[in-house]
Amino acid sequence: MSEVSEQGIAVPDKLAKLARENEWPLDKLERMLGLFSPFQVQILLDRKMTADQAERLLAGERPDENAPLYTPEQEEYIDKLKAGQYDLRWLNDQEPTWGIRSSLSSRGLTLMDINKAYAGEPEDVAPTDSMAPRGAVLEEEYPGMGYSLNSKYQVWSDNVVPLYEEAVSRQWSVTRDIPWQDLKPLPDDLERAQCEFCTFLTEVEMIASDFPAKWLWRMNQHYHEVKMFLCTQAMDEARHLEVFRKRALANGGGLLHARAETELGLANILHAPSYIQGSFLMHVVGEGLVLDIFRAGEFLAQNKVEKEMYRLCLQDEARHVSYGTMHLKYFLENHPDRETAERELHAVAEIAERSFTGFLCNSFIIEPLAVLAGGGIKHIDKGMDAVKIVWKRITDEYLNRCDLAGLDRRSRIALPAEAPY
Amino acid sequence: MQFPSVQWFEAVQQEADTEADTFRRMGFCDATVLFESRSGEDSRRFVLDFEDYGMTSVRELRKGEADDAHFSLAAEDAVWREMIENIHVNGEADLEHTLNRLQLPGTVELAASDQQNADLFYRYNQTFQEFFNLSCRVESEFAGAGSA
Ligand SMILES: [Fe+2]
Ligand SMILES: [Fe+2]
Repeated sequence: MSEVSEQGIAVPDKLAKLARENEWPLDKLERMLGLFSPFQVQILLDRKMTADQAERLLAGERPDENAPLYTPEQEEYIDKLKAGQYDLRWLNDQEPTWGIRSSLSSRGLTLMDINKAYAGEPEDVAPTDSMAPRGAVLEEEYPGMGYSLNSKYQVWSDNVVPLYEEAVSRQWSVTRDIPWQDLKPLPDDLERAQCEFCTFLTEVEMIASDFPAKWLWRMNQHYHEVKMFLCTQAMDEARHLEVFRKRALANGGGLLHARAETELGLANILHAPSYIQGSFLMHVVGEGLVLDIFRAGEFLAQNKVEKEMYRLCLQDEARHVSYGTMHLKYFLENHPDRETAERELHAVAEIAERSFTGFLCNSFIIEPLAVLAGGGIKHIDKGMDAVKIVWKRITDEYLNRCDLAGLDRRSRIALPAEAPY
Repeated sequence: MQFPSVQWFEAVQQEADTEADTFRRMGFCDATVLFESRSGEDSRRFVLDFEDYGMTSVRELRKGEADDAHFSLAAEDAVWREMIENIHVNGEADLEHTLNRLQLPGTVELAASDQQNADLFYRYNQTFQEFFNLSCRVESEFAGAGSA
């Protein structure tokens, strides 16, 4: 609980009480809260810092040499240690479950193995607002992390635990694993097409780091596997930016034209008003599309370098899509008001399907694809056949994923099954 | 060795065993794959189990026998034969003969009960590609005449 002071600063009750005990006037506390977080201020109050000492901090000076370093409890503990007495509560604690011995699987010790052994299934509603590990016993009073995603259905997917293991196991290095030495000069039209395509991909990749990162701290730590998986995704996307930027700059071409339309698509994801909306837009719609774009990139590769980079990227991308699809399914199946949730997602899908066209009718994306597919600008017409195949694959797979998740877009998709060109 | 046959797939896995470090670095691969080679009305079907870092078992299905695969890769005999011969000549699939290259336009058909299962083909694509690439070390014979 907190109350809002006259200056409009929220003063948590616990802090107000501590300030009174330390004889800090209310305005001092408010000024401290104008500069520091409640948690920073609590660290000082727990140590019995005086109002004068705090004033020096506010003035940007060092507090005097008497400013306390230890809390009273810590002082007491230090005295006991000096007298040769140990605390040992942790050793005699009767509360924790003790004697867990996880068995191994053929590939080592996995998260699935330890979850099977202990504290495996997270609860539907997170029992605390803390970072205390699932399975540990938390003290009664703690500061609280302020999470907003505290229900399992808001973040979970049934495949997220093995997906994390898979992600860690299938990491790769752009510097080491791409045979850059095999890169050979290409005719200008093909190099330009590849570079334009790589410019687009360099631009979009890290939205899928930024979006999960934006929501990560809001997810209750009780669902740590989801957060861990999203960390692997953030790393994957850093690697994707790296590989496309390197390709653009490695073979006589360069980074070319970036479009405002692409930026709109990215802002649409980053600023989605809820995690489920953004996850649907990014994991299911955006990354589903990018997965097929990578498959097209592998299909159209002019050399081994491009073959490898698109193949390695498409593996990563398929994991991201897999989490998103299964999260959507879990969200819908476990939402307390499925009807409303579905209605909202259908509305989001109506917008998302229109944003597909920002990619599929974007001359800076489909024309380079057609040039690569045709083998040069002379055969761009022939190359457009490959673009039409990609359109079909993208819409087919999008509908299949929505089917699997239980969101019936098949009967109402805004996008035509075949390319309109 | 006759392609396709249980012995042929096992011979490829034996080659993969000699490249264990490469397969470990590519990471876990958990998928059951139905490999189908069609010749007119007839087809031969093999179920390949991939677990941990490679193929752990393979068996041929009888006509009409149900399978428990996550996804299937099906093509005409001639398509597979061309792919295997290409791998044999080049030591690996060239640009036109990778699994994804053949599958995207539908030359090789990918089918699954749902998209999540189909997506396993993408998630482990490098492992499957590397597996078939190693067939360059296996003498392959094809129904009718010829070998690679
Ligand atoms: Fe990516
Ligand atoms: Fe991604």
